[in-house]
Amino acid sequence: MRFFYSLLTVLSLLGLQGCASNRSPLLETMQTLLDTGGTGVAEDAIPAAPDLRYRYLRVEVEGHPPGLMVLGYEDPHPLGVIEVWYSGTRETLRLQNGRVVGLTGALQDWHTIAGQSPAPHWPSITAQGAHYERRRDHMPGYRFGLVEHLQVSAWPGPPPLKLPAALHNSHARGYQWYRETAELRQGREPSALPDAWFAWGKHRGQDTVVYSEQCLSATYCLKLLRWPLLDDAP
Amino acid sequence: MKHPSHFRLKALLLALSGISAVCSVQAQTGLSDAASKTQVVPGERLSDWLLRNAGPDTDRTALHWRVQAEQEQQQRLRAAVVDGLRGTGSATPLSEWLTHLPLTGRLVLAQHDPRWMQAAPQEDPELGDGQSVVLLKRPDYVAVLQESGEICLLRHRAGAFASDYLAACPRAPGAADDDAAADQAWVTQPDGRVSQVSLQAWNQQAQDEPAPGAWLWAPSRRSGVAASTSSNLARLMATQMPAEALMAELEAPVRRAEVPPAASLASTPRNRELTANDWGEIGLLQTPTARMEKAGAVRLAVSAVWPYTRGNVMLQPFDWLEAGFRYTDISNQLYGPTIAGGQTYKDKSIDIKVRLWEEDAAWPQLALGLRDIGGTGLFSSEYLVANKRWGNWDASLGLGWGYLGARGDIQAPLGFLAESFKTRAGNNTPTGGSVNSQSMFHGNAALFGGVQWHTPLPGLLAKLELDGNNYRNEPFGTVLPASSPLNWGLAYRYTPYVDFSAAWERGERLALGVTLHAELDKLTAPKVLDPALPRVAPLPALTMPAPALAPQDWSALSAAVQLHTGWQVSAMNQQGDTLVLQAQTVDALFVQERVERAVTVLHAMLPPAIRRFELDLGTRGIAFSKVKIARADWVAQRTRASPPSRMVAAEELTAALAPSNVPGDEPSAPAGYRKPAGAKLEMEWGPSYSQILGGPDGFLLYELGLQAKLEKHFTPNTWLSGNANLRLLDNYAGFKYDAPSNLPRVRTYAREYVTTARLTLPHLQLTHVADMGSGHYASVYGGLLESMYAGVGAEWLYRPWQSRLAFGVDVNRVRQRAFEQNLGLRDYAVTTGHATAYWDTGWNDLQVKLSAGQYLAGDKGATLDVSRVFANGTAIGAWATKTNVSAEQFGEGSFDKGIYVTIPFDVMLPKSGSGVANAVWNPLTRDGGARLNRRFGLFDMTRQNDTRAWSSSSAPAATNPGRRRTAADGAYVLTEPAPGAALTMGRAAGGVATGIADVPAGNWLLGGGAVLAAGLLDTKVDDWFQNHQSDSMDRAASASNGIPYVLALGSGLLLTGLGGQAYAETAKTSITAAAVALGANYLGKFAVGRSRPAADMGPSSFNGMTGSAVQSSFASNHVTAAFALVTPFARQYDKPWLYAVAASSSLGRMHDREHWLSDVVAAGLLGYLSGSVASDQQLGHQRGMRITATPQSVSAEWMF
Repeated sequence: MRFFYSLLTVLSLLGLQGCASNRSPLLETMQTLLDTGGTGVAEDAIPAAPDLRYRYLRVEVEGHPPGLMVLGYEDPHPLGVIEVWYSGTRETLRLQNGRVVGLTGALQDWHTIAGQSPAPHWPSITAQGAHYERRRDHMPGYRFGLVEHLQVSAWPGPPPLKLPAALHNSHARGYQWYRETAELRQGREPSALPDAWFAWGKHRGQDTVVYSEQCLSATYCLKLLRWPLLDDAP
Repeated sequence: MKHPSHFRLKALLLALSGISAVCSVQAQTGLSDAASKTQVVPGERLSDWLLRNAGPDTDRTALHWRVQAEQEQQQRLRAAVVDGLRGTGSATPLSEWLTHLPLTGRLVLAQHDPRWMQAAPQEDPELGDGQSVVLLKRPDYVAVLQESGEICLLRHRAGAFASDYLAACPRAPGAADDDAAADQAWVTQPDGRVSQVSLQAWNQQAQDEPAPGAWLWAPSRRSGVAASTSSNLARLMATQMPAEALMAELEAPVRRAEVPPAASLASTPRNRELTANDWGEIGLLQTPTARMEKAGAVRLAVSAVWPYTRGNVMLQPFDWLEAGFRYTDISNQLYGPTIAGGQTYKDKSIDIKVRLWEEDAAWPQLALGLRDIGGTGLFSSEYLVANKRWGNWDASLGLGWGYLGARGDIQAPLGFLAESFKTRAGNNTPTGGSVNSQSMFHGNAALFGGVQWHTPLPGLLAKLELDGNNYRNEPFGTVLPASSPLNWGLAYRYTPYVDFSAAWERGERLALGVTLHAELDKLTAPKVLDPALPRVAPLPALTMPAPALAPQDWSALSAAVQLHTGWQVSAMNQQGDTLVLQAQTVDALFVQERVERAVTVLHAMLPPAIRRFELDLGTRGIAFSKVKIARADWVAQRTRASPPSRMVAAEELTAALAPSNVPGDEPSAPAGYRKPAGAKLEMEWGPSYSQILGGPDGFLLYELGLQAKLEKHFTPNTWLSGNANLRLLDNYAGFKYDAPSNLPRVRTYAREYVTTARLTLPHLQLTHVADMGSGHYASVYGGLLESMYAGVGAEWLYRPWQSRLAFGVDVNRVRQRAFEQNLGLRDYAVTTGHATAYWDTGWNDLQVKLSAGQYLAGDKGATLDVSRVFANGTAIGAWATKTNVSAEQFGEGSFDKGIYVTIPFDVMLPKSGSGVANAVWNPLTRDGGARLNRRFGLFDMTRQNDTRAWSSSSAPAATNPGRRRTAADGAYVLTEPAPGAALTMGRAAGGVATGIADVPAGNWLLGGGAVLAAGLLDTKVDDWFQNHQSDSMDRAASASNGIPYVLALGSGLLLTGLGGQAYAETAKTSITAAAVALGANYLGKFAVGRSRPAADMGPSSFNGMTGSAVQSSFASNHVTAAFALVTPFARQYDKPWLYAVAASSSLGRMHDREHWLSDVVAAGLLGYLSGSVASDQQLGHQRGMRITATPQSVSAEWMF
């Protein structure tokens, strides 16, 4: 599909040549798209070895090239530290125990409301699964007070997903995977959230959620990978 | 119901409303149960305050940032609301309650997340005196403000919409269903944002849910409350706390109610989906509906149902107007051997649909449409159609004439008007192109209509319709099988830009379609390929004077500014604490965005001691704008959020001063950067592509190749430009057709020009432009002006800074180029040019351009060009040209016309750049009304003088909610109505009247006397010339006619500096004088309309104020221009013989019987007047006559 859109884009730009008063921007854009396989971002845009004084999260959203977020704050919380990650365009992502609990300044804003039953600790989750409840506000649309019942269970081996190339199979096989299914109890969603997936393993010497796929809506899903993986391969 | 006692305001509320000077906070409480108060630290950021006073779990839904100074504005808003409610059913109790609402000074915030604010300091307020922060506990209720003054309080229910809350509220006692029904509601969310939502099945649309803490206001349709009052009321409530907190302090009658669980609520409101029918119109399958897209919509729809394949382009310039064009391929009909042999027939057509009535609760939407106007009229139809909607169902019913009503089961509905309406003749317009008005709404008609159902699957529509055509009277007398009058099918919105459709039509055939659509006015592209701009850091305190920049710093600064803006930096220097930068902008699109980038770069690279920036911006050596920036204020606005009451303008925008104000020119100016003189030859190459659509030799004739483009500047405002094209690939082998022509073939040699040579030189031109001051601009140019014509020309434009009006004149002497597009020329030569008035109406972004003059075939007439230009620079426009060529002479099409869409590349591409894409559709290329394709027109070059150049944006805020700013969009300010078109026109007319009144009567009498005296000899002189025709006289007359062109060319050459600076200045004056005189003369021609001697109607035949009057006799353009051109030289260099040269230009005009004697006398006086006044103005003489020309007026005054 990406190839189709890239081809369509290049052909459209070529078509515009016929009615262009100035060709420079067209040519430059076409050149860049051809150079980058239609994404506009070069393959080496994400450094394999970034400045290790900072902590990074590789984020991928369907239809967009991947990018890096950098850890800004670790806010203490009784249920686990809340990591505050920033993108280059100031989107602010909050993760708690690897789960998205907040996203501000993006196409979809998400805010989990405290006070519900806490999510179970990852190592305690078995194949039989565990349950908890989540209450959240969601923008756009002012969909406030959505209540979901979540079932999370351990998944044997790598999940049936197309994982990012940056997450090698050897890594994926070594993690403990979990699947989380949400069922809306209060509120109306246009359509159900897809299942979320979490990979639990070591990163920088600590057990953590190394990789996850979490959807904020039926069509807006994040693939989050702690970056770089370095020598934490299991 | 009245509540007398009524409304108590507690002291605590008063304190929090900002009257107290103490900044305070109450964390996690309602105001009635205040738990704690925390002082803010002056200068503290709101984010820091929140992190200090609220934990990570603290709910910030109803966070209030309050600024005492904003209360005055909000008081005006409240007064306007109360005033607006006066005289309505909601007046007394509600108004009284509103007057007791506290004035809070609350302003909206872009976000309530402190961690986000820290990363976006420009949205993070700096707290100070007179400000307070109120953090309320998470609200639980939604409040409905009722007309009775009661408040209906309902617990928030996730998934409930405004209509659910309103339905759950008890109705006022005694109110009838219809009385209580509301069509619209205004929702004030707890974060202060306001939206208007629809409530009924007929106007349902996707909408936000009211969040807990929201206020709803939904006046009934009988209430008489104006929408503006409702909007103001909603914005007033945005300054208030959620109801449960407010009710604790301010008494009001409250009813409580419960919204049923989400499962039992009405279905989620959905938008009405609109898709194209087979004809590209918004409609069902074959039939149109009364529905319209929003202004800015464009679509390309292709449909196929045997034997027709239609390619439709539809545009929506206004909410009430849909228009477009179509190519129809008729597969069971050939063009015929005389035209295109075996190619199937192609038909062109134009459609228009106008909304007559917008749907409301009681009445359906009504539209009137014309399909296939003019042309061959094979499918010409007229219709009146109505639509009514019930949620997901939308039904239409219409009455169609012509092709659409060919079933004809309703006998001549308009037959009662006149006998002629009882029958409908087939189109018999031999030439096509003219509107088939003789048959419109004539003859029998048929009902058509149907229903569209938006299925539960998002974007999937089911359609069923009754066709008005029985397919027994198809084009060329064919009959198509039709076993059913019903058509049915599906349309699916695959993406927001692509629709697919499939249908079963006539009971016989499968129809398939695909539609690509977009909203032009919302086009925007994030600039992901642009280099990242440096972050705006706070400005450090000033510690030492500005150090002088090193040469390498200047170069780096220049390169960085150029990289981020695309500007060419001409010069820079440092004058004390001010950095002065002069730059040439490539074009004037989105200039404010470029200024923002430039200042960001300057701020990042310059030491803090530089406190001001001055940007002198121009194009091609002409200075247009000066932007002065106070750096500290600019930085402050980008590093913290400020309330509107404290905003200081950081930018001052003015017209540029004298064009010679170049930094560093002055001998004492400090050193800086100056672009090296003798700029190198700029050259670029790339692929080229061009196409011809819809010709009989093939629907698409194309060529692909390589193109090289060069530009060499000799001075900033004198340059040589050119391009060469190498055609590599094409399908011209079958290109045989030459359009017929009864005129000189000025455009119909298209085939010869594109097929004769592979390597061509479409353009090679030397151009010089000049700013003559006070809004006057001029250009002279010569060379290979376009692919078909070479020659010389000149243009003058009067366009004052930020004026809505402009006026210009261009004159060109051109010769047709050889088909090879090399340096060769053909025999045909012509003088062409136009006087053009430009008007930005200010109404619905409408721009009008009216040109009158002589076209390439020597025909004379006028072109009207009307376009709507949206805020992002995209435009939809159309033009029509009517000249003195008859429809028969013009050939098919009858007159020249076309439609165009303009899209700046900046709104399409992920990389910033200049230029626009112009997609032009000209149904037929013929020789009448053909214009020279001039490059470097002054109007385009001077766009920086346009107010819109500074307000247009490649990403308008309306299309990008993420651009919402703290305190900016939520300013609770009443909007003043903008002056309408009538007022603008009135002012312009007033200007004309004032100008005329300023002319002293004595001067009119003097000039008028001379002309009248000459008029006594008009007939005798004409007779003399008729009696003295000879070869030698013919040659003399021919030479005489060329004098003004020689003079203009001479002035143009001198203007380039060929004869030195002094002559260049005089030449500038000379050309200005000629332009002013010609402009005035055209006005005179239009007003007087005197017949030419050759018409043999005598010297006393006048027919002014008509379209053809601009070609009339009084006075002579040749003589006017000649005198205006020579007078400044004659006066300044004491060369009176030049007057004789100018006077001799009258010989040819009278010999050719183009003018009477009095015409040339008047022209000579006008030219001399203009030339001498302009000369005096150049020399600074204050005595004598002074002439001032503006688009509104031409005024003259005599200074003693």
